[in-house]
Amino acid sequence: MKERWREVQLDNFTGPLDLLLHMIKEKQVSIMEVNLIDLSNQYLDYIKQVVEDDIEIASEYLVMATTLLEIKSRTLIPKEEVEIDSNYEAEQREELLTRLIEYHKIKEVTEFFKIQQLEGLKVYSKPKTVIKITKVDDDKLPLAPNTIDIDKFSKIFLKAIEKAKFNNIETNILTTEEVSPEEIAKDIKEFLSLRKIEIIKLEELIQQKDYSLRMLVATFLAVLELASKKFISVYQENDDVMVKYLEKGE
Amino acid sequence: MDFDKKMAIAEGLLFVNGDEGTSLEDLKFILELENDDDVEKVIEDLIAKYEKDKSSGLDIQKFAKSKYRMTTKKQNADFYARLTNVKTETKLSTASIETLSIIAYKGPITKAAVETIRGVGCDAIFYKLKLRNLITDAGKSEEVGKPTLYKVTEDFLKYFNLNSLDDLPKLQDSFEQDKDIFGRE
Repeated sequence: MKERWREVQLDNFTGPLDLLLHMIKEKQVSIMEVNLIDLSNQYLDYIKQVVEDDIEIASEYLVMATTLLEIKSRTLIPKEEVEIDSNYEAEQREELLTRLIEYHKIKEVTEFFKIQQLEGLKVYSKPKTVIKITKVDDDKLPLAPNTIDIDKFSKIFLKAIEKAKFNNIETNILTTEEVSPEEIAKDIKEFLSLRKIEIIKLEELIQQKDYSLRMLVATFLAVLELASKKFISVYQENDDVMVKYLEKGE
Repeated sequence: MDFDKKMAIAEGLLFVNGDEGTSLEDLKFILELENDDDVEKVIEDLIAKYEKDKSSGLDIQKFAKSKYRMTTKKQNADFYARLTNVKTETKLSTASIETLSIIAYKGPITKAAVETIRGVGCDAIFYKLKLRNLITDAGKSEEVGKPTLYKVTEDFLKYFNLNSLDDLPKLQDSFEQDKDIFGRE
């Protein structure tokens, strides 16, 4: 028996209970009849051999070895003395057997899962297909008043900055001049109403203003402010952002 | 809509949804049917049709109680293995299967409880099983420290080709039977 065990490595077992179960099965006895002394000797022998080969033996096996040793040592104490502690020993023995039974129940069904796994790996299916539904072209989408493509808006802003650089106007120097969006908003309103302009490209509107970064930012804020107050509406037409004056009469 | 048309739509739906599977509810909604029985009739007929048709390479698998997925027929697996797009799938280790079995039968269960039954630490295995979406969190236990409870997932059922956890073989549970489990004639 010993020789046979030597051939089996711990890797073949999923844990100490697995090893114990295997040993009990080898003995061909019922789990209730198993001689724990006998079993612990066998278990310890085996662990000893494997430890010699593999120092990194799983600690769980050693924990189990101590449990077995404890049961064994208590059984070896002379009878009279054992009386006091006989319950304890019986409990320990009972607990180990219960654990083995519990574990064995699980072990019994793992074969079922292994078979199901192999069967499952024999069928193939494809990933879920994403359904693509055609929708109306972006260009043809009617835009509600004040609805505008933010990308377009920022592109115009960047273009204006580029232009400012081209004109050698400093874009990043702090000036003491205060520019309030409110003032610019007033200017824009005046500009639109005085010239009786109904619709103008945002770009053109910016061109009316001096190019400086502060001014640009203020102008954009002013446009947004006017739009939110519905003095103007901002909308997209092809590649341009258009500004429509709503209160010409004012 | 006649019955054949319904079967055709159901078949296409199973194809579109692929390995994710199609629930009875989805079928009901798409086929504009009122009750479950009518939907089941359509799908059962389709399953029977595939089963009968030896010239078809497809199969419909029922899993997770009322989900269906279209797969290739099991018996042709070897032929597909000749393809170049073969990816080796790692089978679950015995230790992983043991752990999964415990969670399937005893879940929701804490990791510590699983470790007690197996007699070994299960950290790495739990991590792997979670990665493969075979187990998932199922709330917190009332025990001290409120450890996480785990249960098996729908993917678990799909992986092991199970309709529901009711399909699992019964665990021996009477002590009298326990006495005999190791008995050998």
